[in-house]
Amino acid sequence: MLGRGISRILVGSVGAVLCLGYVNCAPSFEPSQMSLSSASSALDLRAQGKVLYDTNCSGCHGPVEASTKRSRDVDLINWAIGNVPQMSYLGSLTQNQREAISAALAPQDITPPVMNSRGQQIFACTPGQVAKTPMLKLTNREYRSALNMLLDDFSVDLKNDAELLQRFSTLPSDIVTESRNTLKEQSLLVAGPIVSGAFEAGFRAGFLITTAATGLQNYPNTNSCLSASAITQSCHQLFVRELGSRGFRKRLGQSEGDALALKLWDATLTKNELIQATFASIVSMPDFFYQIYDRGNALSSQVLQLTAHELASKTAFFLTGAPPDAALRAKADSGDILNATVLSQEVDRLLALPSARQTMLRLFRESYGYDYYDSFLYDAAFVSGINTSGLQEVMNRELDEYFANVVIDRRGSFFELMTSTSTNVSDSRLASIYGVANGATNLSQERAGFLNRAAFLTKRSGFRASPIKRGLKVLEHVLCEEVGLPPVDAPTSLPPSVEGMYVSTRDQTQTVSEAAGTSCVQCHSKINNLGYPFERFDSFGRLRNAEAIYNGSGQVVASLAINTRSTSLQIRSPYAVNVQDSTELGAELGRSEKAMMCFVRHLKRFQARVPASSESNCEMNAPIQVMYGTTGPQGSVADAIKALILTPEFKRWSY
Amino acid sequence: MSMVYCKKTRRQFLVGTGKTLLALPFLPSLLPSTAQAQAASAQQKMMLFWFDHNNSLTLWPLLNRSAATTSVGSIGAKEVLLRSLGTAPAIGLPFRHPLYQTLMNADLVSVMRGFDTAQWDGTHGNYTVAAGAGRNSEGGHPSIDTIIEASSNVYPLMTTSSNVRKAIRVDMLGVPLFYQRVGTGVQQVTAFQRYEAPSAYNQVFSGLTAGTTAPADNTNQLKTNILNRVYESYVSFKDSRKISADDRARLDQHMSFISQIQAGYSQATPVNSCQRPMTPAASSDPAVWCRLYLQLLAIAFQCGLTKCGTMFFDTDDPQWMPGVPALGTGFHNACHGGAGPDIQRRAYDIYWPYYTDNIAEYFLKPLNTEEGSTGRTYLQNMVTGFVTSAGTYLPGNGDGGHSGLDSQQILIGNMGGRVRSGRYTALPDTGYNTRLPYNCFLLTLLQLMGVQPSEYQNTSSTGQGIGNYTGFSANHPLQSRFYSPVAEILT
Repeated sequence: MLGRGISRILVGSVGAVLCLGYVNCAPSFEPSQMSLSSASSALDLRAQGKVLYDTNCSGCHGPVEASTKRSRDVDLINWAIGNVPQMSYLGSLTQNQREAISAALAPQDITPPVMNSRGQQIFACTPGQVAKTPMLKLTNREYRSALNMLLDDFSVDLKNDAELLQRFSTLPSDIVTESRNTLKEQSLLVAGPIVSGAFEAGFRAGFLITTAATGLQNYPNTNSCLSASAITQSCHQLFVRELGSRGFRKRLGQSEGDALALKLWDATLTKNELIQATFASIVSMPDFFYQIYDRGNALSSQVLQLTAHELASKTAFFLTGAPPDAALRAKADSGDILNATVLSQEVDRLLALPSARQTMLRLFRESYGYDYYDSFLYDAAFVSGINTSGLQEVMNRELDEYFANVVIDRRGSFFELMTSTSTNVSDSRLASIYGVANGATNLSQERAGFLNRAAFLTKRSGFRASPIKRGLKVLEHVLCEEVGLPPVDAPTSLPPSVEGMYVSTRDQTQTVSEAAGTSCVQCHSKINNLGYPFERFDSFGRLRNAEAIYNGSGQVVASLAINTRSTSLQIRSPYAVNVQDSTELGAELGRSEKAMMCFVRHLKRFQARVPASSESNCEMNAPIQVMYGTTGPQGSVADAIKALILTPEFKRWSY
Repeated sequence: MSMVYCKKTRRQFLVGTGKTLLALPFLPSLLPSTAQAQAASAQQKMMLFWFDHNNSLTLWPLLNRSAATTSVGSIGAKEVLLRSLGTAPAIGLPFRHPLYQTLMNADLVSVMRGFDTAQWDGTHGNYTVAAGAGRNSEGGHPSIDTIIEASSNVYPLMTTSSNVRKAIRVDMLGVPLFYQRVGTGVQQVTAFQRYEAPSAYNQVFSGLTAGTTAPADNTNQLKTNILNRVYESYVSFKDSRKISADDRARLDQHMSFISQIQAGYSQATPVNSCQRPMTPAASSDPAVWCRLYLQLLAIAFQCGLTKCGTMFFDTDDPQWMPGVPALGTGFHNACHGGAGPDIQRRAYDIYWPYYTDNIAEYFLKPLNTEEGSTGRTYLQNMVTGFVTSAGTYLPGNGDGGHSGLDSQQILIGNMGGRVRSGRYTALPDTGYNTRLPYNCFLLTLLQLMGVQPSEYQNTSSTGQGIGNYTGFSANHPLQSRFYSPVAEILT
C-alpha cells in the first residue's frame, strides 16, 4: 500500500494507534485483562473487544463507536504495543485480546440506512436521548471575549492595555491536533500554564478597572457608590452582585450575591486592592471559567432543562465564542429567550455579528482541516519566485472569508458551499496562483467550491501533487469516512522517475497503490478516485493543462497529459458517481447526503466539543432535514445551524 | 532525575479520561493557605553558543567513536570518562584555554556524538536557534530559545519579575537572523546585533541597582489571598453542584494547578551576589563587543536577570580579531569551503579558538564560582552548550559547514546533577540519516530547563516543532526513541 505523507508523522506516533491517555506517566498502571473464550463468535469477540477497549483505550481515543482509531488491524496494534514505549505496559495483553480489540474497531456490519419521508438518509434516532456533555472550560478565545466584555462595562479602552495583551499572548494555545490533519480548539484542555496565565490576565484586568474612574462611578446597579474614596461593605455587595451576574452569565439573587461578597470582602485591603481582588477572583472562579448548565429543572435522572440564562449563554458561546451581549442578556432576564420565535430571531441576530464570522472560521477550519499543512516547501524556481513565507495563512484566510461569506452573508446552502466561485483575493501571491487580479471577487468554474482552492490543493508540497493526499482529505473530512493508518512499512512517496520512461503521477499512483489482489487497493480504491479529479492543479494549486515531470535537479524533463476523470463509490454509496473533473466532484459532493451528514457531525462536534455520538442523532436530524430542504432546494447552512439550536436536546444538559 | 516524558497530547490527556483523571493524585500538600518558605534551589539556566558554520568531525571535537568503550543505555551507545583521555586539548584545538581542562578534570564537560538532522541535511536545520525541523524559511518551526522564552513553566507569570529578560540573544553573525518564534508567521528573533552592546546593557540591566538583586514582586501576597478565595470557590462548587464524576476529576486537576501556582509564590531563590556592571563605553571595535557581551551575559545569569542566553558566532572577514591574519573572504564563505580547503581549515584552526578563549575567560570563568548558598557553582547548576552544525562531511568537500550528520555537541555543567557530565558518549552509528534525531537532543535541553512536552511537542508552525520527525524514514531503527530525551546522558 502506498503510504501518505502524513504517515511519516503517524508511524512515529503510532502511539496514536492504541494507547491509554497519560499512562506512560504512570508506568505502574496495569492493563485491564479479561479472558476470551476460544469458542467466541465474531459477535462475542467484538463485544469482548469493546470491553477491553473501553477499559484500556477509550481514555485516549474516545468511545469505540466514535474512536479515532477505527479499522486498526491487529498488526498495527501489535506494532504499537511493541514499539511505542508508553504503550509497553499493554504487552501483557494476549494475542486473542488484541484481536478482540481489533474486532471491536473493525467497521460494523452495514445496517440499512434510515430514511425520511422523501427517501433521504437521516440519522437513526432514539427519541429522548440526550448525549452526556462534559463541563467545558472556556477556550482561550472565549476567555478573552468574556474578560473583555466585562472590561467594556468599565471602559472600552481597557482591553487594549499593552500589559493585558501581553499576558493574553502568553496563554498557551488550546488548539491541538485532535486527529489526522485537523487542528481543533479544546475546551477540555486544562493545564497549569492555562490556569496560571488566565489568572494573571484576570489580575491585570482587575487592576485596570481601578483606573477607570468614570466606569466605576457609572457601574450599573451600584448607585455610584464606587466613586467614593473608600468602599463600604454594602457597596461591595452591590458591586459583587452585578459583576458576578455578568461574569457568571446568570442573574445572582441578593442572598447568593451577598454570600459571594462576604467571601470576597477583606477590610484590610484598600479600595483599589479590594476591587482588583474581587474582579480577579470572580473571573477565576468556576462559574466564569467553565460553561456549566446545572440550574434548571430535572427532566430525568441526570438530565436538566436549561434555564433562560443558560440557554442564552450556550447559544452565545456556540455562535459568537463570547458570553451573551446586552441584548441577549435582556432576553434571558425576561425569560423571552425560551420562546422559540425569540430564540430564532436572536440566532439570526447573533449570526450577523462580527464575532460569528470568527466562529465560522473555527467551525470550518476544525471541520475540514484546511489550515493544517504537513509541510509547505517549494523550490523557488518551481513557484516562479513567489515568496511562500506566510502564504499558508493567506490561503487559510481566503477560505475563512469564503465560508463566512457563503454561510452568513449569502445564507447559502451546502451545495453552494461546494460550488460557489466567490472569493476575496487580497494578496498578490494568491492572485498569481489563481491567475486573477489582486482584489478579484469571483473565480472561474475550475475553482468552484472550497476544494479547488489553494489551501486544499497544497497539502503536499514539492514538485509533485499528491492525489492520495487530496483524496484522503475529501474522504476523511468531507465524507467522514476513516480508512485508518497505512501499514508501518508502506512507502511514503512514489518512486523517482526513470529517465526516458516518464509516467504521470496518476498512472504511477494507480500502478503502485491499486494493484489488484494487494491489501493496498482496499483503501486506495476509496481514496485515489477522490483525488484524481484534482490532477488539473499542480502541487502549488495552479491550474495546468499537462503535468510537468521534474528530475532530481528540479528541471522539467517531460510533459504528460493529465486525466481528471474519476468514478467514486464513496459519494453516493452504493451507487457509482462519475465525474469529469474536480468541479463536477464538488457539485456531486454538494448534493451528497453523506457529505451533508458529515458536515452535521462536524457541526455537532464543534458545538459540544466532543465527537458526536449516536445519542446526538435526534438532535442532528434537525439540521440535516433543513439542509436537505423540506420542499425543493436545499436549505441554508445558517438555518441548519439554527435548527440545531432550536432542538429540544440543545436546551438540555445531561451530566 | 525528574525528567517527565509524556507524549500524550493534552487532548489525549483530558478528553474522556475521567478514569485517568480520577487516578491523578490530588495533593493536599500543595494547598498552603499561606506562603511557606522553601529551601533555596538554583534556577535552571542555559547558555548556548552556536557555531553555525562549524568544524567538521575530523577537527572538532577530535574524538573518534572508538574512544568510547563502555556500554551505556539500551540502544548500543558507548561512553568514556573524558578526563581519562589525556590532557588538553583532548577535545580539540579550540579548547586550548586551561579552564577547559580544569572543567574536564572536574567532570563538567560532556561530548555527545551521533545526532542526525533529518529534513535539512546540507543546510542549517535543526540547530539550536533553529528548531526541530529547520528554520522558518526552511521548515517553519520555532527555535528552542523562543520555546523557553514562551514557556510558562520556565517563566511562571506570577513569579517572574518584570525586569527579567526571558532570553538574551546576541548575534555576532553580522546579519540579522530570521527564525520562527513560537506562534504564527515568520518573525525575526529579536537579537542584539554585535554593535548593540550599549543597548543590550541598558535593556538588561536598567532595572538593577548597583550591588543588589532584582526587586521583589510585592503583589504576591495579594495574589495569594485571591487564590485562596478562588480555591475555596472550587471546593464549594465541586461539592454542591450537579456535575459528573469526570467533571469533578477535572475540577480536582484545576484545583491542583491553583495550588501549584500558589506554591510558586513561596519558592525562594538563592540570593545571588551580583554587581551591576559598569556602563560600557562606546566602541567601534567588534572585539570589544564580543568580550563585553560575554561579560554581560555572565552577570545577567548571576543576577537572575535571565535563564536563557544564546550567542551566535559567524561574521564577515574577521580582520578585527587581534593578532589574527585576514582571511581574504567572508568567514561564512570560508567555512563553506568557498575559498578553498586551506582557508576553510584556517577558519577552523584560528578563529574558533579566538571565540572559545573569550568564552572561557569572560563567560565561564566568572560563573565558575559558587551560586548563592547552593554549594555548587553557576556552571554546575546550569548547562552551557557549544552546539554545532558540524557533520560528517570533510573540509574542502563541498558544503561542509553544516551537514548535520553524526554531529557532536558539547555541554559544560550538569544542571545541578541532572546530566551525567564528564563523559564522551558515542551514540550508535546506524547510518546515513538514521542516527538519533537531533530533536532528541533539543528536547533534552528543553526538559532540563523545565519545559513541558505540551509546550514543545506540536508539529505545526503554531506549535513548537520539536515533535516533528517527518524527515526521518518510516523504518528508522531508533524510532522508539523519537520524542524522548537522550537518556544516556541523564542521571
